[in-house]
Amino acid sequence: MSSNLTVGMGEMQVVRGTGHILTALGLGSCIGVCLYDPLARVAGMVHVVLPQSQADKKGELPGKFADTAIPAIVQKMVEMGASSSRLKAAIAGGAQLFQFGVSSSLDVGARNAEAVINALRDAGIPLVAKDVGGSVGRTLRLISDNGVVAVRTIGGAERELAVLGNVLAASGVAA
Amino acid sequence: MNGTDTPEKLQQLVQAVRDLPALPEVVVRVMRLAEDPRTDAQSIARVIATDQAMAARVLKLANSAFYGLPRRVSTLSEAVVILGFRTIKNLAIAASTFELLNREVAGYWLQRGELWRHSLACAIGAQLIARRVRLPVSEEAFVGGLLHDIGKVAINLFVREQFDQIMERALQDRIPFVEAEQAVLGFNHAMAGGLIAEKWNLPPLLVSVIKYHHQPSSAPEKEPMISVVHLADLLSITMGMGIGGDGLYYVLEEGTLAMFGLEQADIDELCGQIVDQMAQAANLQEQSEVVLR
Repeated sequence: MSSNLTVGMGEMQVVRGTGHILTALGLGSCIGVCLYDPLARVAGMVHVVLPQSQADKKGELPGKFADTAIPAIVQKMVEMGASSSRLKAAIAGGAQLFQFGVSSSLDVGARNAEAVINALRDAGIPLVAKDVGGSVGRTLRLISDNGVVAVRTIGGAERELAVLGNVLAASGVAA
Repeated sequence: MNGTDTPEKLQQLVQAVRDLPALPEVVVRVMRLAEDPRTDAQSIARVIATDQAMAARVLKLANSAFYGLPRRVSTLSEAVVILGFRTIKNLAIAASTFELLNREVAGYWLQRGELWRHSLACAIGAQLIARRVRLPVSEEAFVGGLLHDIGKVAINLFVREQFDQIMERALQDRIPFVEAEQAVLGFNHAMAGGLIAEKWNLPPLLVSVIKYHHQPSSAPEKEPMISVVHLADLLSITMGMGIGGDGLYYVLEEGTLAMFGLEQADIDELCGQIVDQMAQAANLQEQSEVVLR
């Protein structure tokens, strides 16, 4: 059965098989993380809002914070038949206020990107492609058939960021 | 067009504002009564009752999870007594502007519902910040946040026509989008919003909040609430709530965080709270869509 799922702030969605599209709309400083196992055809997306969870706060959506989101979605994908060693990732978002000279203290976008990249590294998941930073809003889509990741800048055209189902894309670009 | 022909441009702006619907008569009367110390709950309830749609809106919003009342409010006078005049006034203003804020605002690449979402996030953010910094006017902050971008609806068509020039100007001169609007169009959405607020006879503080929400320090009166809405605006747009074609070409006025003693950890916490409350408000939004149409 095919589906078209929107991944809201702090939410995660995992699907298996073909015909599904996962979408994160209007990413600003948030990061949309796409994960894909090409063999099991398990696709996952999580919409990260903040870099770090607060130790004193239980019961939060794990997808809200970079440090809890990555382990949580990996676990969910493994439950759905993925192998964590086959997962590949692509990310988009992390925008921040345009820097007009004075540095802004509202740098949550940059901190989000850094935290997500670190969390992926800690989980041993290669980051195949990223489209982060800048001062633009983005919409991110992941297609379950082949792991195509597409990014559209608000007001612009959609472009392909990565094909996570492509076996050649196994190495990873970002550190 | 290059910013020299100011009177003609201002004329365009005045016309655009004139073309927007007036605030419903019932809201104007409620506002006036709520300001009058001799008013009693009955008379406000009677005025609201003359407009069935407004009565339904007020009751529905008063009963929404957002206001968190422990039991169901079933009569208008009860709603007025329980919520107080100020709340009723703010509810009436908020309810009556949903229609305008829920429009598509193509000039800013905002699809239908996006400006409403941004406005609601800003309203929630402003209320949270106001409470956090112990301003006694958190409810006014909510309404100010809700209405801050109302001017975008008025100048939408002008911005749509010249979006590329405005963006180019912002990038070339390294100025915020709102300043580029001013440079290219001869006016900006905050100015337009201020005119609308004046036309609607909103309280002077609300007029200032709307008019100066991008540069609180330019306001003649030093009201911290203007900076509260300014910060809430930037937080909600940064998080992508109603982010449009103008992206994040906005600037946080220097000293805003210091003014309230807010640090990075506070900002993160506020962002998290806005997201949580927006998730609850999704419900309010749905209710509003049904009732307020």
